[in-house]
Amino acid sequence: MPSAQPSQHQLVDALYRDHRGWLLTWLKRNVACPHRAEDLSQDTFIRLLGRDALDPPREPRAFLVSVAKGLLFDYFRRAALEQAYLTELMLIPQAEQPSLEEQQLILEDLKAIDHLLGKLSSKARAAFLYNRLEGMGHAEIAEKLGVSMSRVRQYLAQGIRQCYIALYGEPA
Amino acid sequence: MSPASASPVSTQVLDAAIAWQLCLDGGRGSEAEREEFAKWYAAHEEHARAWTQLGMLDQRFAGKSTLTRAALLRSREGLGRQARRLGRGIASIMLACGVILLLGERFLPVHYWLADQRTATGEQRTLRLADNTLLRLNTHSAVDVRFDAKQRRVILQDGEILVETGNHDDPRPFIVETRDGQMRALGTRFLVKRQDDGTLLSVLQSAVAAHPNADVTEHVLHEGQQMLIRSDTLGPMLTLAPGADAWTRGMLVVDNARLRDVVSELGRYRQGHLGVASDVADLRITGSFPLNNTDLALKALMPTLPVAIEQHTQWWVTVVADNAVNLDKPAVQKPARL
Repeated sequence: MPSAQPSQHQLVDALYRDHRGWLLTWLKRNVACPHRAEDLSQDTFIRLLGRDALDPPREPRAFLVSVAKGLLFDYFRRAALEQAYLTELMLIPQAEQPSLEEQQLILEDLKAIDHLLGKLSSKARAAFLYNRLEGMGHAEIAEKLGVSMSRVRQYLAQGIRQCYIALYGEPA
Repeated sequence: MSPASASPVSTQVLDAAIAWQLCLDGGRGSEAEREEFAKWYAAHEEHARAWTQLGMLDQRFAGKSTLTRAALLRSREGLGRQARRLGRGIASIMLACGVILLLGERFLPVHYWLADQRTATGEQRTLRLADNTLLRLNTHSAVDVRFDAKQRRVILQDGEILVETGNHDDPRPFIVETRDGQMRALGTRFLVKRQDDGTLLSVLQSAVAAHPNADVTEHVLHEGQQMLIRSDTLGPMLTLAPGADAWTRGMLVVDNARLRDVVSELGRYRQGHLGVASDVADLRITGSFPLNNTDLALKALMPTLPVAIEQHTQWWVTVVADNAVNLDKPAVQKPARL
């Protein structure tokens, strides 16, 4: 097992005992699939066990929800991407659909890009993709997203930085 | 070590390079700005390196197919909707089990969507792959299936699988991959289990050729043999424990096993915490236990061992010493009956 400190184990045990049922209820309200909710609640505690240091949270439930939300967002993102891919695929006439091998490559590529973009906010992600994939200028993106030009530049900088870190590592 | 061109620059230089890229984006930027940039670029090797790296990053997004671009842009719409709903108590359709799979089957051969299959805790499922290979997923397991013209590859991401290879005339090698190594089936039936300390390969029939990730030299395991594969090395050849494949029949079979190991094994099949008190953890037990009803399995411990089941909630169960029994007396070992 990972070398978590005994006290950390006890802390996670206590969180689990006192709040696991509550967290599961919260997850089930947000996740239609009960199996998925169960998995996510387990994964939340497993993630806590894997942490290097863990202080007793002042608001245990808010703390657990913040961890679970991170996992949920990863899941939402992946599911939204797969769904979007399928929707787009259906819009292509049967005869022109890519071969299975090509579809495989596209899906791999999508997952790789999803990994690159990581935890960018929804708007930053959109700004970055509009810019990189569609070649939209800053003003056009600002109008499309309903934000200022300077905010668009912030989003783009976040996007570039996020991809840079995913490709080359944290700047020294 | 990575070449100098791939090593990260300092935060300061990266910020400057990003600022320059945004300034010059799409051919904008005044004449003066471009001169200023040329000076910055030439001033230091690190500046040039950062600029090259950002250029390579651009390449990563260039020349995408219409489908790829459309999927990426559309995914963001779905995501925003999901994210806004979070915490408001509206169950999301996106996460309904199987929606994606269902949609996919209308448009693509089923085997394609077998990729990224997983079982929930306590669930077991059998998949038949395109070549008729049977893949049985144990509790809380996940696999990706990658078949192409050259090979049949199954990537075990988590948990445990039983493989019964199908078409033995198929010229493509059948390979199971984990983070620790690769296993090539030689017409066969075998188990692969991901553990914290490596990947456990158990050969039930015929043979499997295995190698760790760090070394491509294959070692052949025959029927009745077992081996722990770590990413850098193969463990010693062991004799297959009887009952290793009992889970495929829904049972846990143990012979003189420590209670802590039995409890930890049962814990894989149930949600929540299943623990054992340290003063009884090393007691030994022989018997067989149903995996589809772990409550029953736990009750089956009691007539055999001096233990009691302490249950705080359905999710928090501990096996403790039964106070009515003196632990100094040797534990009577009887086979557990169900």
